[in-house]
Amino acid sequence: MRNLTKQLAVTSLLLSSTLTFAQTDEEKGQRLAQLADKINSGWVDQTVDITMTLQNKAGEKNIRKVRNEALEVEGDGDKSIVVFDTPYDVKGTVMLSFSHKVGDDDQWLYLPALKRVKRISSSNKSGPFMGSDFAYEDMSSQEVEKYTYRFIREDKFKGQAVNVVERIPVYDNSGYSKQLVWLDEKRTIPLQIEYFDRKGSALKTQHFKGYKLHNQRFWRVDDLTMINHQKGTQTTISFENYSINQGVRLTNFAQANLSRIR
Amino acid sequence: MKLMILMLMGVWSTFTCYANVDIRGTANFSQRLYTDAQPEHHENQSLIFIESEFYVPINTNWSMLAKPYARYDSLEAARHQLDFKELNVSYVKGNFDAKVGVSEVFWGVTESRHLVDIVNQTDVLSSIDGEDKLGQPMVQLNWLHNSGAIQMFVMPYFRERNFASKVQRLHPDIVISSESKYEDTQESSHTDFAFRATNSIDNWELAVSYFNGTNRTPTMIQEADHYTPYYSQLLQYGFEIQGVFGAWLIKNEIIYRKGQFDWAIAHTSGFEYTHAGVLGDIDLGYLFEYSFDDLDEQSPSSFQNDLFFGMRVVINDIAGSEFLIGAVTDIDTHHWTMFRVEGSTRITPALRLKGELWVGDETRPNDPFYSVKQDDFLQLSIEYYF
Repeated sequence: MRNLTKQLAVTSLLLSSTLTFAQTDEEKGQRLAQLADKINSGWVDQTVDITMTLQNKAGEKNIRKVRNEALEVEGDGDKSIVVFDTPYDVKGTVMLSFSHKVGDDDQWLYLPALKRVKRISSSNKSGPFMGSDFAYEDMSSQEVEKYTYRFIREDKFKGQAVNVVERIPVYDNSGYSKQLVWLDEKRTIPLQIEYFDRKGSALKTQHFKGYKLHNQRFWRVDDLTMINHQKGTQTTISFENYSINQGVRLTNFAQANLSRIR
Repeated sequence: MKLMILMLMGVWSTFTCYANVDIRGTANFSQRLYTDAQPEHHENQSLIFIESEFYVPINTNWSMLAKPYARYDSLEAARHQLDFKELNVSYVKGNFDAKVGVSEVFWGVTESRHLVDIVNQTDVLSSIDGEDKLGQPMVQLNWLHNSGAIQMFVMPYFRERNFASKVQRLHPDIVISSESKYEDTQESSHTDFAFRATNSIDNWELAVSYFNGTNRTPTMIQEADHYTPYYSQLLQYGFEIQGVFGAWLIKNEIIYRKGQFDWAIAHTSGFEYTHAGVLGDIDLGYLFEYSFDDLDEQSPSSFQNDLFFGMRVVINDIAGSEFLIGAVTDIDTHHWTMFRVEGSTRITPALRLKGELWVGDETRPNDPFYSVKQDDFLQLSIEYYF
């Protein structure tokens, strides 16, 4: 009896040291999400060149190239510009997005053939981006408020200690019922995300490869691979020429500026 | 005008020698088959056009843009064209930019009709939907701010609408004189002015515009054996509103104008709803637009009291396949005046296959200019991008 009490005391001591203080799994999940967000804030602006490689079931590959410019917005989602370079029929098309923590994003499209800036509906976040395995909601800025969280377990992922956190999209029109995020214990950055469709079945897995530290502060990946288990397709996004906090102008993200971008 | 182009070309060739030129473009080959056999008309038509773009950044502020356009039409020489859609020099400094030369701009929010879009002349020989434009010589000044822009245009030269020289497919069934008449004594050298201010406020897009100059749309004066295009002076105020509510877009364009006749109002109002994720990843967009034109019988328009229904089908596949279906019905006559299906898919990263079916059925006994003949067609195109 005495032995058992002692054992319990030791266990609870161990538990409280890992959990810091008694907190629910929801609180722990939320805290980890906030920490990940805090670690990755303060980058101000970022430009990066993106190559997407779409691979179908038969292994045939299709390449898309886009350039991205993003601006961090205090207290709201980020502003982002995507300039399409290939396929050539969409070359020169520009997409401008103002993402928001809650609700729909604001989105505009510049169509160079018509010289037209068009405000578009962004409510379809679950649709594929350029025919790839990435949905618009996978690509848009990840804000803490977009999900509710629950800590699941501590685990090892490719030899590294991780926290596995479940997150459920707050957004009604999300294509997912839930996601499982493997967060690196030390750096609090995602190493893998599993996506579950609205019916709760496993849909996609995203792998994060080649993290490098930029500006001595920010972890950025070289490659993201999204594997669609239901379709048998996969898409790899490769990032090149990251440039962070270089002083991008706010008016670059003005609707009327879209026609000036090349 | 010619002198201006020559000067610009001179400056242009000097710069292209040593600067980094960004070249892109489109080459299109289309084969059209008219479904109604008519004794005096051909049933087959081949069209080729090449549009290229040469962009030269000179330094951080200055750049040049040339967009030559060439078109060949197997049916008639009057439809051949060699032109510049754009040929201009740009100066950008912070929130201000200026452009001098031939340019193209687009105003508006609706899909079936572009009422406020007045700056560029419509290239009616290039397409039947009126979305192709001729380059307009202008000085353009733009001031950007975080949610919109203020634009000013000074246009020293007017470009007439091109008509085919004789009775042709998809052309009014009348002979149109190549000698136009003008209200203003300066004719095509009249200097036109335009202004536009745009603003985005939350989920609303707003714009107001002003135009004072030569009417881009001529009225037709009937003479003994032909019609003469008459270009009046036009004063036009335009308003554009677009609202976004989730998957719904609400669109409205209004113009209040005084041309050859008294002040008149016209508007196009409608909505677009996107139903996403149908049968997997397919997006279905439903469009509905109502067009009203107060000028009615005096007006050179075929949209006095019309309804437009459209459907956009975006497959969201790797080939970027999409389809558009559109139909117009006249409320007064309960008559379907236009039906159109377009589709396209990517064959290689630089090649797109397009198909189009067009059925036009508008007969207006009192206005032969806006009566479309039995020129229904089926068209296959291959478009190459570089």
